[in-house]
Amino acid sequence: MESCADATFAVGRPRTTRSTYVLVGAPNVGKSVVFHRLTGTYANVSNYPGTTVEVARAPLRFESGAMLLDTPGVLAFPSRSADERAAMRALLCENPRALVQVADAKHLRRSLAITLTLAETGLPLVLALNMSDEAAARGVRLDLPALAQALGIDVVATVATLGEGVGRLVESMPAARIPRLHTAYPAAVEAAIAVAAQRIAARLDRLPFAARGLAILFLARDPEVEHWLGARDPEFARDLAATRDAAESGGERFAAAIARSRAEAAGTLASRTELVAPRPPESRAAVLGRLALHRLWGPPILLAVLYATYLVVGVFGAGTLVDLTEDRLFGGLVNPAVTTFVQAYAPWGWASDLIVGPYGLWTMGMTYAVALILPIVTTFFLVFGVLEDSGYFARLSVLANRGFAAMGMNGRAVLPMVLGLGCVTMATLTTRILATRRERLIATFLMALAIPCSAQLGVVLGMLSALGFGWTVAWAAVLVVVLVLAGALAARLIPGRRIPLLTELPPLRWPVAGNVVKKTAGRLVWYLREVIPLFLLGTFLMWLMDRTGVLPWLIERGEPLVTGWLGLPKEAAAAFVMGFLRRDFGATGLFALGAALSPAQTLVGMVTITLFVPCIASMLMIVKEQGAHVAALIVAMVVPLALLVGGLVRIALVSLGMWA
Amino acid sequence: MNRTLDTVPPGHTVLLARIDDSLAPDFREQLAAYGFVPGRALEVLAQQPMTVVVCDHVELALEAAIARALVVRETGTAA
Repeated sequence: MESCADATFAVGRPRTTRSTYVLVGAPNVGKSVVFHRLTGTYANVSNYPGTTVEVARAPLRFESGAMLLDTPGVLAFPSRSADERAAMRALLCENPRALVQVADAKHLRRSLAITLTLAETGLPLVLALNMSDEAAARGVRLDLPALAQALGIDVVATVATLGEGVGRLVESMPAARIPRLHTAYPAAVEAAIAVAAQRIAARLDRLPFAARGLAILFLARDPEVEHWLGARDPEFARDLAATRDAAESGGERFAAAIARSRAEAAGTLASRTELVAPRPPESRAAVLGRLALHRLWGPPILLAVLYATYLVVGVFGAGTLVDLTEDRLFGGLVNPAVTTFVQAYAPWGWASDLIVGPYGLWTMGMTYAVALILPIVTTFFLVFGVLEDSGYFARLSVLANRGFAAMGMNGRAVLPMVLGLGCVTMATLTTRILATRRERLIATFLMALAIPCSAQLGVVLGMLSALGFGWTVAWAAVLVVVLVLAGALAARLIPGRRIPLLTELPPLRWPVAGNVVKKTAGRLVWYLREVIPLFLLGTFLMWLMDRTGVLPWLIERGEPLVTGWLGLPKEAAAAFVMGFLRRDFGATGLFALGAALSPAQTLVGMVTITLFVPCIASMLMIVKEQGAHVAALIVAMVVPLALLVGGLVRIALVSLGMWA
Repeated sequence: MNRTLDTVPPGHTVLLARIDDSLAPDFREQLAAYGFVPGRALEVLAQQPMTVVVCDHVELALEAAIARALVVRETGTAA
C-alpha cells in the first residue's frame, strides 16, 4: 500500500500546483449535492490511489485553477472503515487549501464531533450546515453567530438542493480561517499528546497537519496516520508507537478517552448552539419504519419488497430487457454484422474463430456481458439504490441478522449475498463493504457455492417450474440447507470472531431519484471497468482450452462421474463444463437434453449445476479480490461438494421411489 | 444496581451510566461517535429482533451482545 509520504506516490497523482479544497462530512448530509453546486459536475469518480474507495475530483466553478475533492462519508476519526481511511488519506496527501465540512443541521452534535477533529489538523475550515430547511421544519433554531464565534470559523447555513447559501459558502472558502476551539482531554492524555507533538515537530518537516493533530490521531491509532508516519520515517514511527503503547499499558486506551472527550465537548457545544432542539419526526415514515421490523408486520413487508424486486429484475430486466438486447439487438443486428465483418477481414482462420466463433470474444464474452448480464444488473442496481436510499436496507440487515449469524456473519452481508442473485462476479466485489477478512471469505465462499446468479436462475426456474412447484421448492430447500450448513462450517473453520451488528436506522423516506441514479451509475461504471474485462479474459481461456483439447478431455473425464454417481446422461458432463463459461449455458445445456431427463434427473442436474463453480469471470474476480490460493481452495471445496450433494439427492430420490 | 440496556422494556427511557470494559474498543469508539456518553438519555424502541434505541435523535439497532455491555440507570437516579 503506497502512502503519499513515499516518493513513488507522486506517479499518477494529479498535478497539485492548483489549490485543492476538500469536502468532508458524514454520509447522507448532501455532500455530493454541494459538490455538484460548486463544480457543476456530478462526480468524476475514480479510485483514490492506494484505496479501493472512490472519490470525486473536479475544477471549482468559481475559482479558476482550483480543484474540489469530495471524500467518502465519515462517521468519525480516527479512521476505521475503508471510507474513513480514504478520507483521511485525502487529508494527509492533498495538501488542501481549506477543508469544507458539510454537516446535517438536524444532527449538530454528531457534526460538531467531526468539526472538532478537523479543527485539530490546523487546516483552514469552513462549516456548511446543510439541509437547514429540514432542520427548520423540525423546529430547530440554531445560534449560528455564536457557533461561528466559538469555533473561530465561518458557519454557513445551506440548502444545497435549492442552491441556498451556496453563494455565501463560495465567498467563505478562499477566506477560510483556522479554527481556534480545541477539545481539552484528560490530563494524562494531554501530557502524552504534548510529548508526541513536540517529538513530531522536532523530527519531521513539511507536516500535512499541525503536529498536535497528528499526535492525537497517532495516539488514537489511526491506521492512515500510522502508515503515513511509517513510510516517512520508519524508525521514528516505531519509537513513537513504543512510547504510546508503554504509556497506555494498564490504563484506558487513548482512543477511548479521546473519543469520549470529543463526544462530550461536541455535546456541550451543540447544546449551547441549539436554541430549540429538533422535535422527533412523528410521521407515517416513523411508523412504517417501526413496522418494517415488527414481529408481525415485518415479514409480509419483506415479502412485498422481494416480490416487487422480482417483478422489476426478474420479469422486466431478465425478461423484457434481455429479449431486446440479446435477441433483437445483438442476435438480430450486431452479431451478424460483426461476424460478417470479422470473417471477411480476419487474416487467419483462428483469429476469426477467436472473435466470432463459438467461444468468440465478441459473440460469447462481450455478448454475454453486455446483452445478458448488463440489463439484469442495471435493474438490480436500481432496485438496490431505491432500497438503500429509502432506508429500508438498514432494516433488512436487521431482519436478516439472525440468519447470517448462523453463518458467522452479520446482517450487513445481506447486500453482497442478495446482489449475488444478480451477478456473483459483481457481488464478490461488493464484499468489500464487510468489515473483516473473515466475513469477506465466508461470503465469497458461500456465493461461489450456493448462490445462483440471475443468468442461471432464469433457466433453472424455467426448467423446474415446468415440472411443477414442488420440484422448485425442493431445489430451493436443498440450496438453503447447503448454504446454512456450509456457512456454519466455514464459520467454525476460518479463524476469527463474528462481529455483532451495530447499525444506524435512518428514517424511511421516499428515495431521491438523483441519489439512486448516481449510485447506480457508479456501480455500472464499476461493472463495466472491473467485470467485463474478466468475462473477456475468461472467454479467451475457454477458447484456449477448447483449441488445445483440454475442454473435450475434461468432459470425457467427467462422464463416468456424471452417469454413475449422478445418474444423468453423459452429455450432461459437457453442460457442466460449459457452465463454467456461462452459467446459463450450463443450465440450458441440460435443458437441451430436455425430454431425455426425468423430473428426478432434472432436480439432480439443477442442484448440482447450481452448487457447481460459478462462471469463470467470478473465479477470476475471486482471484483478484482474495488471491489465487483462496480461489483454488474454493474450487477444491465447491466441486466435490456439488457432486456430493447431487449424488445424495439422487440417493434420496431413489430411496423415496421417485427415481424413474 | 447494574442494569443493562438489553433488559429495558420498549417505551422506556434510561440514562447511560457507563460502557462495560468487556466491549471491544472499536465498538466503544463507534458508540462514542454516535453520542453514547455517560448521562446520555436512551429511549428504547424495541428489543426484538434486536435492541433498537434512540440516541441523540438517531435510531440505532444493536445486537444483544452490545446492548449487554451498556450499563444504564433510571432517569432521576443519582449517577
